[in-house]
Amino acid sequence: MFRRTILIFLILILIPGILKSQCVIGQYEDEAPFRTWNIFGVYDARSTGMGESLFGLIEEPLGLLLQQNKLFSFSLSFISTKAEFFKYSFINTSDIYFPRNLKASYIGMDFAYGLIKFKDWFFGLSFTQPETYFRPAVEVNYSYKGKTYRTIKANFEGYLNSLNFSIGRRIGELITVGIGIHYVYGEITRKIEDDYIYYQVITTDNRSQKISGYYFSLIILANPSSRFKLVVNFRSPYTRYLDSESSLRYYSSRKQIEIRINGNARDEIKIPLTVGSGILYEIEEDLLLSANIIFFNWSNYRVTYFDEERKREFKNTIKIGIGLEYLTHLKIKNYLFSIPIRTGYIYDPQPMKNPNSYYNYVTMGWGIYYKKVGVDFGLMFGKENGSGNSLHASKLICNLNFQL
Amino acid sequence: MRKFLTIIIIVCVINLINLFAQAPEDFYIIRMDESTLRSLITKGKVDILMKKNGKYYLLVDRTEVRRFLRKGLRFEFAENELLPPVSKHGLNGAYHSYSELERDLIDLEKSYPEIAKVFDIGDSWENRNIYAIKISDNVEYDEDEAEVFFVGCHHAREWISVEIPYLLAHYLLLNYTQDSKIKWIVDNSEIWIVPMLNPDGLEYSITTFRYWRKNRRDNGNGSYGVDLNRNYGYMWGYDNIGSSPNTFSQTYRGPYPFSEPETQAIKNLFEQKNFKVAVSYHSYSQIILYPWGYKKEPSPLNDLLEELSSKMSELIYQVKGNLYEFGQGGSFLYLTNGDATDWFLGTFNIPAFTIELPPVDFISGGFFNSEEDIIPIFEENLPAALYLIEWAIITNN
Repeated sequence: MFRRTILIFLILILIPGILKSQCVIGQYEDEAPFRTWNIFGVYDARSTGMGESLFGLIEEPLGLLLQQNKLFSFSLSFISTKAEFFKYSFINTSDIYFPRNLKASYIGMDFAYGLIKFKDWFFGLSFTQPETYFRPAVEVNYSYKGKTYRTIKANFEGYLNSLNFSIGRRIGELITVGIGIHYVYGEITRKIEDDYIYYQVITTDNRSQKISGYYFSLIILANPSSRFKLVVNFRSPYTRYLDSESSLRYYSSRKQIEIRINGNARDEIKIPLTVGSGILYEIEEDLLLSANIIFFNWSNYRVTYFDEERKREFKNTIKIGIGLEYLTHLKIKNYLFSIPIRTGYIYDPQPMKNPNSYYNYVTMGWGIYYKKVGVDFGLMFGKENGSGNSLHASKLICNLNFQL
Repeated sequence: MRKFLTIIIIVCVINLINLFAQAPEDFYIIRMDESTLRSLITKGKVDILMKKNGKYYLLVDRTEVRRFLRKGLRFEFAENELLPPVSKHGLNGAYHSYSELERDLIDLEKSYPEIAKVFDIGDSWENRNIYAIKISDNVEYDEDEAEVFFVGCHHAREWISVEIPYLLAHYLLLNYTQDSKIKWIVDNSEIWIVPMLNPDGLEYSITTFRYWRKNRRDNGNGSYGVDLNRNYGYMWGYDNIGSSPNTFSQTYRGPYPFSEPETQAIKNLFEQKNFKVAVSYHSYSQIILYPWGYKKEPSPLNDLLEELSSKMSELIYQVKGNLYEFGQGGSFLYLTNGDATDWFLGTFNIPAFTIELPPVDFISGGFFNSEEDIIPIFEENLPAALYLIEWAIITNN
C-alpha cells in the first residue's frame, strides 16, 4: 500500500513534466507591445511617479480634466523607455543564441493634449502613442579561421498612435460621465537579411503590417466627498485591422537566380474589453493617496497572422498600482514654487499562461510648478519574475504643463 | 453602321471558334454549384469528379461545353485549380502551411471517401496533429495488399518535400476513375502518405526563421530542436560524425532513440503495418540515396536498392531531362546515423529511399524552389513513385 502510494505520488509529480508542451512565447510575438502587454492608455509623469495609479486615463483627456478641473490645459510629454528581452522572434528560439538579455530603448513624444471646459461640458483632444514594437536589432557573424562566411541582420520596429476625442458632462454635484472615441493607426515591420557570403547567396525576409482601428471608452467619476474621488473606466473590445505584406527573396549572384514569394493578407487582432477602477484620497491637505486596479480580458484575445489564426494561450490579468504624492513648497526670493514628490508600486502580470511572468515596478517622481506652468518627471524601475530570465525595464517621462 | 456591326460579329464568332480549336485537350474540368448540377442531372448523365468547398467538379468534352454555353448554364473552367495547392496569399505562397495541409487532406477525404481516409498518427511537441492519408480501395479495411509509405518534411526548411507527397495523394485520387493504371495501383495497394512529419518546425520556418531545420523540442539549455532524421532507432548515435550529441547542432540526434513524438508516430505506424517499400522526401541535391547511411559498407539489399534507384532515376530523367544521381548514402554523400531509411531497412528489411528533390545545389536555390516549380518537380517524380508502388504490388503478389 505504501509503495503504491509512493508510486502514485511520483506519477502525479511527473505528469506535469510529461504533459508540458512547448510554451507559446506570447510575450515575444511580433505584435507584443514593448515592455508590457497591459496597456490602458498612456500615463503622464505624475501618474507614472505614483505607480501608474492616477486613474491611468491620460488617453481620455476627460480623465485628466476631471482631476484638474481647469478651464484650459495643454501638455506635452517625452518618454525614454528601456526594456530587456531574451526570447523574441528567432532570437534565442533558434540557432541564434545570446547567453544574456538584450536591451532596447527608444525616446519619443508620448502624448500631447488639449482640454477645454465650457459650463458643465468638457471637450478634449489628444494625440498619444500608447504602444511601440521595438526589439533589439541583432547582427550575427559566423566565421571560420577569422573569415566571416555568413551574417544575419535583423531589425524590428513599430508603433501605434492614437487620436482621441472626448466629451463629458457633469450630472449633479457628485457624478461626471464622459465618452471618448479613439482612432488608432500604426505599423509593425520586421526585416531579416541572411547573407551567405561564401556562396554569394542573400536571403531577405521582410514583413510589414499597417494597423488601423477604433474603439470607444466610457468614464464615470464620482465625488462622494471633497477628499475622495472614485472613477470607473471601460474600454470597448475592438478589432485592429492589419494590412500585412511579406516578401521572401532568395538571390544567388553567382547563378543570377532570384526566387520570390510575396504574400499579403488582411489580418485582425481582437483587443478584449478592459475595465479600470481607481481612487484618489486626500489623506491630508498635502498628502494624496491613489490606487487603481485594471482588468484585462486577455482570454478573449485573438490574432491572425497572414490569414492564419495564431495560438496565444492567454489568461485574464489584473494590474494593480498604488501611489503617494506629497506636496511641498519652496520659496526663492519672491518666487513661490510648488514641488510635488511622488512614489508608488506596480504589479503587472503578463497574460501568457506559460511562462507565468509578472513585473514588479517601483516608481518615483517629482515636479516643479510656478503659477500656471510646470514640469513633471516620472521614473519607474521594474524587474520581471517567472520567465527565468530576470528581465528589467525602466521608463523616464517628462511633462511640460500649462493650465488656466 | 450595319456593316461595322456585321464585321464585329464575324470577328467574335471566328475568335470563339478559334478558342475551342486551340484547346489542347478534348476534355475540360469545370466547376459549378449544386443547383446548376441538379438541372444537368435531370437531363442526362454527368461525370462528377469531386465535390470541394460546396462546388462540383465535372469532366466534360468540348461538345458539352458548347451545349452548356448555349443553355446559359453558370459554370467556370477549373483546369488549373485541381493541381496546385490552394492558398497563395500567406507567407508561404503556394506552399502548404500546417492548417492549409490539414484542410486540404480533409477535403481529399471528403471528396473521395471510398478510397481516402485521413489518420492522425500522433502529435508534435506543440500539439499539432501529424496526419497520414491512406489511399486504397476499401479504405476502411486493412486488406492483404502491398503497403507502401511516403513521408515528407522531416526537415522544416525543405518546403518542397511537403508538396510532392501531398500532390502524389492528390494525383492518385483525382485520376482513380480516369486512369485504369491508377485504378489498378490503388485497388491493389495500400498507400500511406505523411506529407508533413514536422509541422512545428515547418510553421516556425514559415513564420519566424526560414532556414529552421529541426523540430521544436525545447532542449532546456537555450537550444531548440532535434533533427528528426537522426532520431530513429537503428544505429542511433553510431558515431558523432553522422549525427551530433550537441543540442545546438543542426544534426542533434536527441537524448535517446525515438525521443521525439514525431518519430515515435512513424515507429507506431510501422509496427502496425507491413510496409514493402518506403520513400522519404527531402531537399536539396537532386539525388536518390539508399541505406546504409551510417557506414560506407553496402547493405544486404544493396543490389536491389541500386536496381530500383537506377530505374527511378531513369524514369525521372525521361520526364524533363533532369538527372537525379543515385547511390548509397554513406558512401555517395555523407554519413548519417539514426536516419529514417536506415531504420526502415535495418528493422523491417525493406527497400527505402531518400529522394533529395531539386535544386541541385545551394547556389541554384538551395532550400528555395519557386512556386512555379512545384508542379514540374512533382511531375518528374511521379513516374518513380508509381513505379515503386507497382514494384511493391508485384512483389507482394
